[in-house]
Amino acid sequence: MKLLAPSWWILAWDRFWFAPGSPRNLAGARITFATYSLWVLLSRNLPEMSGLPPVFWSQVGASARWRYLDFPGHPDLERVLVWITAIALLGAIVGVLPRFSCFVSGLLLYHLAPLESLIWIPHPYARGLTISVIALLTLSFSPCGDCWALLRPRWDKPPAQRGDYTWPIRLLQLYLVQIYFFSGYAKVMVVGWKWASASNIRSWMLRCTQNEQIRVFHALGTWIAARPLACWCVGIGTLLFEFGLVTALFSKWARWVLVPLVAVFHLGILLSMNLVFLNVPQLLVFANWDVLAAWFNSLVRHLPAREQENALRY
Amino acid sequence: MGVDISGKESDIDYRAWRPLALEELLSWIKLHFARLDPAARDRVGAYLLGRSNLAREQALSLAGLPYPNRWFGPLTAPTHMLHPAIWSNPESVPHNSFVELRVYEETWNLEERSHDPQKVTRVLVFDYRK
Repeated sequence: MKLLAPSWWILAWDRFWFAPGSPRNLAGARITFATYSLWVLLSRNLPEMSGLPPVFWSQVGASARWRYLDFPGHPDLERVLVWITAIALLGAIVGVLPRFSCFVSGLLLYHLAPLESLIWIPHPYARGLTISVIALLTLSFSPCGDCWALLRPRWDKPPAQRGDYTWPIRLLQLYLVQIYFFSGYAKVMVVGWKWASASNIRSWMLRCTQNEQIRVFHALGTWIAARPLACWCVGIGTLLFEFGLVTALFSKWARWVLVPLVAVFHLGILLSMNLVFLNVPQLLVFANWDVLAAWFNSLVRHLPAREQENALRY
Repeated sequence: MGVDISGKESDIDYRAWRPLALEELLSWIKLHFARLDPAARDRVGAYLLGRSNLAREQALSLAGLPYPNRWFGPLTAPTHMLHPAIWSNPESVPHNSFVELRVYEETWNLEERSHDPQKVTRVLVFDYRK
């Protein structure tokens, strides 16, 4: 009966988005997303994509070019933009004008990320920077610089309510969880529940281990493909993970159990199918940075004591 | 595949196509290449042949084929699909320049190939000669 009352839903909604939160968790998310984005950005040669011969750009429509302001023949300009983005991301990591740095880097990544694939497809999904764009922009509208920041502007005052530290974290978690949810949803809608069948998983394993262009690891994939029970476990386990990770938004237990398991799940995909899900480090947005910081502090405090003990021993 | 003056075909390392990731290049070829006129196709062929020969020379040099980011080295973020670095060992790098580039489309039956890895059908999609 309690569930039917509108007041219960309003309270639950408030609790979800605005429960008192920690500035450390938000700062941890800022550092995680900025570090990750810098890693992916500097691992790509995006400016050179603008410098490709014009024939590669000949099939890119005007709408795609104007949507991201991506045009061929400007590699030097793109190089400058990459450096500005990298500096802004460094600013976000160390906390120099953190909100402004997040905003600039998010905006510039919106322009730079599609360069990777624009010659044939106008959206850069699964290439590592899609979540970064919306995450950095979200962080720029939040008090993400209230902790672990070197330089905060004077006008950037701490929020009156600690609930302001929670909604950005919830949004970032939602961005990540929806990837898994819609991945499962697409499988069920396009293929049906039989996607999880042993024969389908066997086909995927064989396809990914037989293709010489992507065949880096093959032992685990062929081992799974040869065992119907293992294929069933992979299929059902995948759907359970993809639909189940939503619970990590609401349950501490699910965060503790499912999030580390998802990281292991991606390691399994990498070793069996040669597919990389770059966003795995972003799962740190589920970490409790207060607990981690306390643990780290206790470690640092105990270190000199142990050194003293060792010195006395000798 | 790169083809040298003697007609010998060799696989090309995925890093040769930088800044293009291999999956982006293959997808572009699959979707758009057939729509190009012969002159445009030749421009693509000349560019890719140039890239593959440059990469071959780099792979034969002491420094080897560089990572996209020299500071990150092997910690450079990979693309969504992994690719084998077949030119990491100088002995596996062709010593003669490529004078021709061939793009094949490969198809196979998963079950047949699981018994015999050579059971692949190859169709020549594009052939560019310098």
